[in-house]
Amino acid sequence: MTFSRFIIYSLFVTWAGYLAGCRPGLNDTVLIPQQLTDGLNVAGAKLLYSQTRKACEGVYSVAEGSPIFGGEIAAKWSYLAKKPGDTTYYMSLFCEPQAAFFVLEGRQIGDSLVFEGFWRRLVNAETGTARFVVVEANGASALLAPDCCTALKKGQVIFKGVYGDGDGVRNQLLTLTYDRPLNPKDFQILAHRGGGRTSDLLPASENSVEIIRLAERLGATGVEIDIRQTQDGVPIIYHDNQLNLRLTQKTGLIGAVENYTFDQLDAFVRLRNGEKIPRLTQVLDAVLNETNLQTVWLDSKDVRDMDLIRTIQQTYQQRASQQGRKLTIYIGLPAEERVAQFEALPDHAQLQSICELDTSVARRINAKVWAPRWTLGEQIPSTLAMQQQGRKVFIWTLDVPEFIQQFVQNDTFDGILSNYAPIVAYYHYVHQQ
Amino acid sequence: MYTNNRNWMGSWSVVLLLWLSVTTLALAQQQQPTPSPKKNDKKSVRARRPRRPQPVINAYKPAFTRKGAPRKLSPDQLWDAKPDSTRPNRGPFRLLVYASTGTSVYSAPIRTPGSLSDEHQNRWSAPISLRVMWQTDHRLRLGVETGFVNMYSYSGTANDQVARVRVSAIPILAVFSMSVVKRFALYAGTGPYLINSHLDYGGVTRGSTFSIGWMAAGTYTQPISRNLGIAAEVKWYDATQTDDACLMLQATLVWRALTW
Repeated sequence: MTFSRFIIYSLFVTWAGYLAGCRPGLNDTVLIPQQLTDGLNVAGAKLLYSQTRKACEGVYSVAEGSPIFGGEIAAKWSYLAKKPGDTTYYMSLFCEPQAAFFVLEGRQIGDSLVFEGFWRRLVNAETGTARFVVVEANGASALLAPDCCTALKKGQVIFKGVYGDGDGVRNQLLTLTYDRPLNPKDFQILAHRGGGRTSDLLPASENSVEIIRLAERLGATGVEIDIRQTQDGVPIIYHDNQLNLRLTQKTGLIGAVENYTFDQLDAFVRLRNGEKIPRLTQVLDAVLNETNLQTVWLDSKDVRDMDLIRTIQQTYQQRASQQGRKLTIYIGLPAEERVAQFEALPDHAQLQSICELDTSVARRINAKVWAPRWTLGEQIPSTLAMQQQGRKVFIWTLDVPEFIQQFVQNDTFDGILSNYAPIVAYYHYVHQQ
Repeated sequence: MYTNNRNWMGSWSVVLLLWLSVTTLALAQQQQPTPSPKKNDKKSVRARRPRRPQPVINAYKPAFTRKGAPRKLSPDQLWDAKPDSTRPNRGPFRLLVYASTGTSVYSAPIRTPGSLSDEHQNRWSAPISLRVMWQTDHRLRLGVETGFVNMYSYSGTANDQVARVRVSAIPILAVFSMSVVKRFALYAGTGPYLINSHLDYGGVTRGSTFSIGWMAAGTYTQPISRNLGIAAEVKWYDATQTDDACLMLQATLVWRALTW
């Protein structure tokens, strides 16, 4: 066999292998370690009081473990109300390198505070478990004191922690020392597709009820979700215009999602992590009843009946008001066609809406939020003009850490939409005005 | 957590098998050194007997007829003389049409919704395919292939309603072929598959999408007349993006439609 023929055959085989490699990576998954809170469920363990949780929030400097998790970490609590009387509180730690974050639960055990949970890097598949302890001498007494809501002093609280890779032994040290409170600015950290993308191997699929429940632990204060309508007019949450293996499990059904009835989707289609494609109302129920999210951005991907979307928005907005929730539900308008549908509503000027087009359109429809694409630049004069007219400005969809840092430090915008909410949370909370 | 049991090793096995076939056949084509004849070896003596002289054909200098006109060499003579495209008298070129039918078995996992009960799956079908190849004067041939194959179907009951799902594919492939030994050719192709789904559950909904993929095949052809032949073909269709694949065994009618 001549050398040239060998080269041709090898190229042929390489090409075939490349095609085989084009198959969607359906085996990719990140298994978050289980049995995370075994160390908390011991005799005498108590749930933490709300003032203790509140006092734990802040920016911590990293003494041991800084090469891995950066020099500072922001700690923020969130909760998930699974049902009335069954609420779980989570402390998330947001780090700078590689979008790393921790999700921990805490207990008071004796005179100490103990936290256990997992860590994950969002830019790769690394994960593991972690355990932190604050003993009495390291500030537990200050956190447990009835008046602990008063500001802590720098260095007053020290979290002594260990972490490990996967389900392995936790043998690496991570020590956090309280430095200062979180950045208090009213700023929206908006999680794209309900919390994050399926391709980032989160434990829940994008645009599912489950990812909405996870969003706050990822640092989000609001979510963006994508609305489409089924053949029979039911508003559902789904990003792409096609059923495909990127978002759904293989069932043989393909083609435009709008061609299927809701019953067909409900019976046959499952998202990548096994969830059903949710109705818009199911998602809003979860936001309202199970989370403390403040903003919902209803991105009108394919809406035929804008009046129905308005009715649902108004219904849930009223329910939020009745519950005393600080929640704003915006109708997102990404294109001229949606704007035209929205303008056809007689009361559109009074509705909460997000306009992704230029400032003149935002003014014309009296959008409450103007949302330019981040690649257009900071657009400071336009942003300030919009804010002077009483509108907020959210920037989308910003995933590059350096630019997130730049836009946060700019201190002009009211929110950032990102697939990496933990990074936005980190840069926002550690930012000193 | 959803994981796919799709046999990656299966895909790579096909590729590896293909590579081994190609390499083995190519090696088999190499001229082996002729062993020196042994004394008193009857076979060797027979081999040394003078044979009728074979006409020497030089593809670069065509022979002449008795009347002095250049002799037109037959395609086979040309091929024997110099099977490549560097000679001055190019050709012959042929257009071959392959029409096939047979049986196919869906070779990727079928995933059905958990909500389905009384489930029945069918992986077998009778595919048809049509291929047109341009047979050049060198080893590599080019062509296009299309056809229709019912990939799989399943049925069952969901919410007390009978549900049926059927998935089919129409390949639209660019195909390359190489004759590796006499009458045996390997094919490889790539291009889109038009995947169609048909759901009957509370009404009929059809969907379609294009899926980039590839194919590989091996064909043994037996001539039955000057312009016709029959072939047996083993073929693998793989629509990569939709994770569909099937193995086919087909009988093929080969028609030499055009020669120039």
